[in-house]
Parts: sequence; C-alpha cells; structure tokens
Amino acid sequence: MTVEQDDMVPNPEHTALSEILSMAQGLEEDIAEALDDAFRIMDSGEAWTGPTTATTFLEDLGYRKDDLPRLAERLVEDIRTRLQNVPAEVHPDRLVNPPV
Amino acid sequence: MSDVSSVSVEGLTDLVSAMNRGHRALSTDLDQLRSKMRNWDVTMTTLDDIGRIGEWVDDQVPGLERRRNMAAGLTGDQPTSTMVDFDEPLRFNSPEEAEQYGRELAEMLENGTIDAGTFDELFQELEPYVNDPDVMAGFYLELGPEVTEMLPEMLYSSGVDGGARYLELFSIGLGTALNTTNHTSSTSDYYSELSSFRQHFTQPTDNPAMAWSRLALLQHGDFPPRWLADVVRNSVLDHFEGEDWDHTDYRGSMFPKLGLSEDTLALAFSALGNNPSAARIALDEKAGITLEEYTNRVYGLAGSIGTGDDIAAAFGQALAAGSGALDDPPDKGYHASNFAFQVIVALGQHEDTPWGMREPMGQIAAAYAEEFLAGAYAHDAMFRESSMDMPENFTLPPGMDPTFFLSPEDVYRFLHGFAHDDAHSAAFDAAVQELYETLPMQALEADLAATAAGNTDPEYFEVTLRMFGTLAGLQYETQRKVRGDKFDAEKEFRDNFAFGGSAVLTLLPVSPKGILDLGWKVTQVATAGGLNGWADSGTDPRDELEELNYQAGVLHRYMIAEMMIDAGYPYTEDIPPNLLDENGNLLPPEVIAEDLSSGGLAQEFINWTDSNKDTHPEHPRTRPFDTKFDSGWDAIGNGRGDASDSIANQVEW
Repeated sequence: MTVEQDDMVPNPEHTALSEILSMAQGLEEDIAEALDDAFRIMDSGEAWTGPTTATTFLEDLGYRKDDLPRLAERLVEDIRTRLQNVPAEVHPDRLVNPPV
Repeated sequence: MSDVSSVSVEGLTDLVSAMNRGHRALSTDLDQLRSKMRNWDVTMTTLDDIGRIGEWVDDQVPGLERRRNMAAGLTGDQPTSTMVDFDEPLRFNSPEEAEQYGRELAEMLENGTIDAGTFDELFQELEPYVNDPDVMAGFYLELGPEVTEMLPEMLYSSGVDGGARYLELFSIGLGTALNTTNHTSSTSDYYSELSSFRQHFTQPTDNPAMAWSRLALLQHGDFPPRWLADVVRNSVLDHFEGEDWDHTDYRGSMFPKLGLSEDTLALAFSALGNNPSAARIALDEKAGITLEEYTNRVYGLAGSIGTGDDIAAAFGQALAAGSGALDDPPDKGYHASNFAFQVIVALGQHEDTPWGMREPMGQIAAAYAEEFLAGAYAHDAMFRESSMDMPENFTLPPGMDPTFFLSPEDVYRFLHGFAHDDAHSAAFDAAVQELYETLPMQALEADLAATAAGNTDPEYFEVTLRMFGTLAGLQYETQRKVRGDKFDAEKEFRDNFAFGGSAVLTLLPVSPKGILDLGWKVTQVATAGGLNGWADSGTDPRDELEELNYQAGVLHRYMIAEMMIDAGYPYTEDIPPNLLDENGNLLPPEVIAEDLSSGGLAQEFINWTDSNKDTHPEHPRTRPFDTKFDSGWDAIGNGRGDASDSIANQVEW
C-alpha cells in the first residue's frame, strides 16, 4: 500500500450519488406503476366509455402508462452511469465541496 | 358520428383518485430526488420526461372531475355505479368553468329590473343545470343567502306563470349546491365557501313571512338531513313545541302562494316529508316534545284552523317518510323502524283521524305489514305491551323477522285510523297478500320437516293462519266500526236534509274471481259477507257484513287445501279425477271458482279433504291431511272470530 493510498478519503460526491441512486431505486416501482390503477379503472369500462373522447383518453393514458416502466428504469440508469464515473475515494486535495 | 360519453360517478371518482395518486407519484413524490439530482449534476432528461407525463395527468383531472360532477347530477338517487350518458364535447371543461357559468347566471338576478321575463330567461339557461353541482354551487355562491331567501317572494311578485315550477327548480338546485363537498372540485372548496350560506338559513327567525320563504325553498330539493332539520326547527318547530303553540298564527301569508300552503308549519312538515333522516332528527332526536304530543297538537289544529288540513297532511307525510315507508322498497333499518314504532303507537291513541293522515297511515302499515301481522297474534303473550323486543314465549313462525312487536290492541288502534275506505288500505292489503303467499307455505314446510325428522308437529302452519285470521278480523272490525259510524252519520244527514246521494265509500269486491287476487282478504270475507252493492244502494253495510259469504268460505277452504297439496303434505285418498286437469294437477282456483254451488267442484273437493282421515303409512309422525286442514281452518276462524272480537272489545278511546 502506498502512502498516497493511505491518504485517500471517501468521496462525498460518490456518497451522495449512491444515496440518490438508492432513492431512485426506491421510487422506481412507484413511477413505473403510477398510472396502472388509473388505466385499469378506465379500461374496465365502469368509469367512462365512448366512441371518441373516452377512447382517445384511454389510448393517451395507455401510451403513458406503457412508457413509465422504461422511463423509471432509465432514470435509475442515468444516476448509475453518473455514479460509475465518480471514484468512491478521493485524495483530500481533490474533494468536491458538497452543494449547499 | 355523435360522441356520447357513458360515465358513472363511482367509476370516475375512483379514476380521479387514481389519477391524483399517479400525479403525486410523478411529481411531488420526486421533488427531493429532483433537487438532489440537480445539485449533483445528474442529467435531468429522463426525470423531465416523467414530469411531463405527470403534468399531462394533472391536466386531465379537471375534465374528469367535470364529467364526474355532471354524472352526479344525472344519476340522482340511483346507485353511484349507474352509467349515465351525455354528449361530447362538454360545454365546460372543468368544474371551475361550470362554476363561473353559474355565477354569471346569478348575476341576472342581481342587476336591473327583475320581472317575469327575467325568470323565464334565467330558467331557459338554468333548468338543464339544476342537478349540476358546479353550476349550482356557483349560482348560489354568487347569489348569497340574503337574496336566495327572497327568491320565492321575488317569483311571486313577478307574476310569472311558471312560478311554482321555477320555485321547485330553485329548490332542487339549492339542494344540489348544498350537497357539494370540498372534494367536488379540486379548484374550489364549495363546502367551505357555502358555510356562511348554511349558517344564515339556520338562524332562528320569529318572522313568519321569512320562515315561509325559507321553507318554501326547501320543499323539493335533496338537502343534507341535519341541516334541513335545523332549518325547519329554527324556523317554526321549536316554537311549535313551546307553550304558545295554540296562540300563534303560523301563516306566512294570507293565502297560498306558488302552489304551497300559506302555513309555515305545513311547509316545515312537508319539507321533512321529502327527507326521512331529517324527519327523524327534527321530530324525534332533537324534538322537545314527544311524538304523541306532536300528534295531539297537530290533530288539535286540524280541527280548528283553516290551514289545519294542510298541517295534518304534511305531518302525516313527515311521519311516513321518517318511518321509511316512502322509500322503495321501504327502509326498515334500525333508525326508521324505531321511529315507525313510536309513530304507530302515538297515532293509535286517536279514535278520529284527520283526513290527510289516512293515506300516510296506510303507507306506514303497508311498509310494516309483517309487524302488524305478528302484532295481531294474540295466542301467545296476549297481554303484552308493544315493544321493540320480542315478548317472552312468543311463537314466531319461520320466515318472519319483525323489527318490533306490537300489541294486538295497538294493531287495532292503528288500523282504525285508516279504515275509512279501501283506497287507503289498498297498499296494506297488497303487502299482507305478499306475506300470505309465502309465510303459510314456509310454515307448512317447516311442520312437515319437523314431523319427518321424528319430532312433534310444531304447528307453525296453524300459528301463521291464526295470525292472518286475527289480522283480517281486526281489519274487518275497524272497517265495520268506522264505516258503520260513517253510515250512521250520513244516514242522519240524508234523513234530515232529504239528501239522496249515496255514501261515497268503496268496499271490497267479492265476486269469487275478484277475491282470488287477494287471497288473504278471503280470510276476512268469509266472515264479512257480501259487501258489494251496498255503496250504491244506501243500505246499512252492517246488515250485509253480518251475512256469511258461503261461496267465499268454500273457495277459501279450497285454497288452503291446495296450499297443503302444493307443499307436499301427504294424503291417503286419491283425488277425484274431475278435480284434476289433463296433466294430473289439481284444477286451479279460477276453475273451481266457476262452480261453487252445492254439490259442485268446490264442495266435492272439500268432501275429498274430509275423507283423508288416516295417517299416511310413510309419514307416521305427520298428522292426517284432514286433521291438519281442520286445524289450520280452525286457527283462521279462531283468529278471525273470537280473538279479533275480544281485542276490539277491549279498546277504549
């Protein structure tokens, strides 16, 4: 082990991004399923049906519902990619001040 | 192609909630994450895409709420899951827009000269929206309580032709507005904003004209019960319960207006007549006097002041509503049945019933026909008081579950109150008939099941028939008494004034075929004798009432024996072939009724029942057919005759 390595300290940026990643992972399912209930109710035909306006709304709701799992996954991936580019430890001289 | 939306309040309420949850999950729930990502320089592209979906969801909610609120207006009293239709596109895209429209309509009554044309013009626009929560909330929020309570007078002063109808629409609209909640719209807290409106109407007033105007507005709408009860109490009932009730003129004007009685008491009661819960709250829960005292006072006014009939009729409606009798089907839940019990006992204290009370009494009796049937039964716990609890040692046949237990005397007393003509008892007769078509059969089946299991015959069949017999006898006694008294009075009138008109009483048609539709009435007719023809002839009905109706008696016996055969009661002798149709089934009563003569089909059938004197070998514990038949027949006769006579003779007014 080198002297330099002994001097390394945990990188606060990495720590913060790890926390953000955890937070996003915790929210991933909520985001992915955010419109599932609404779509299920609308699709049941027990709330609102009709040939044009209701059908268009159901389709619009469906597209967005279908997009959400992918977006939730991509959100987590965005944070993970950012995290991967940040070292877990850093020399004290190179510490980035956490945002106020 | 027309675009018709079908929506349900329940479904859209669930959808709005789900959309709001979805919006939160895509917006505010991500606020902390968004802030941290921005601070640590994570790309926001994906989160922005998610945010845009969240914004889209939020943008949809007002349109969904608007459709939900329109559906609420169209659904009315139907279940909230009912799908209702309207054309797209909507005139208003959000509750806020609809509320604003309501406010603009109200401004028509705030500016310039208000005349008949103003109201006609207003209702051309307003009438389609009187059930619309957003439009009506906006309308009354803009109008305010002070102008609102002047609407009846403004309508009357304008001389507009449709004044009564417009008042009804104002009332319905006010009910719509006052039923809104803070959840009706996400852009307006209707309930909070209307709080001063509600408070204004509940302020006590000793000004009859003001009270009349307020109450006039409450005649038709569907109002929150506790609020309505407070308004009617503070407007007039509190005073009526006080000591000066019989020295007070409760009229709000000198004559009827807008199709309504001029009497504020009548309006207070009729407002309650449209709102069962409010009736119970105002006349029971919050009342300062008993229902019995209320009745004494109302009956006192009914016979002494010009608007007394209005007051009594409206009082009757309020009592029938509170009893749940005006609901379809009747509400016999805990609160309604408790109220009904008090009403039945209180009204039964009066020998003479104001005309306007008779119809609601008939309605109450119809709703509680089972309670009257059980109450008539005097074979067990004969000296019982009426009670919400079942008396000790009381036999309740299978299929019966009365909500309270009247004494036979209270049954007689209440039936007496509406015994004046058959129109008032028609609903009661139909309700008892419905019971007659099920209960004796269930009782017979239970008896057969018991003996088949090796037990003693519990004689539920006899108990049930005795109940019907006694109830029929009591009704007959009340009709005989009331109609006989009426005949005496009218005869005296005719003799004194050489008046040739006949008494306007209608009595039971007793053609054999006619009584088939009211089987339980045969129970009564067999004693009552022929009643038809009297009304036109001017002869004393009691003469004919005393004659035994042989044909009805024969037919009744046939129907009871037929019921036993239908229930599978075992018999030992073959049924004569000429009493059977081509399929081997017993001829229907309609055919038997064609030949009720001596030696005819009916008599042949009765002779056959008599011949079944032996125990069926496969049913050793079951009594012979004829024994059971005679036992049931005797039970009816005992109830109809001795029991009801005894009960009627005990009653002192």
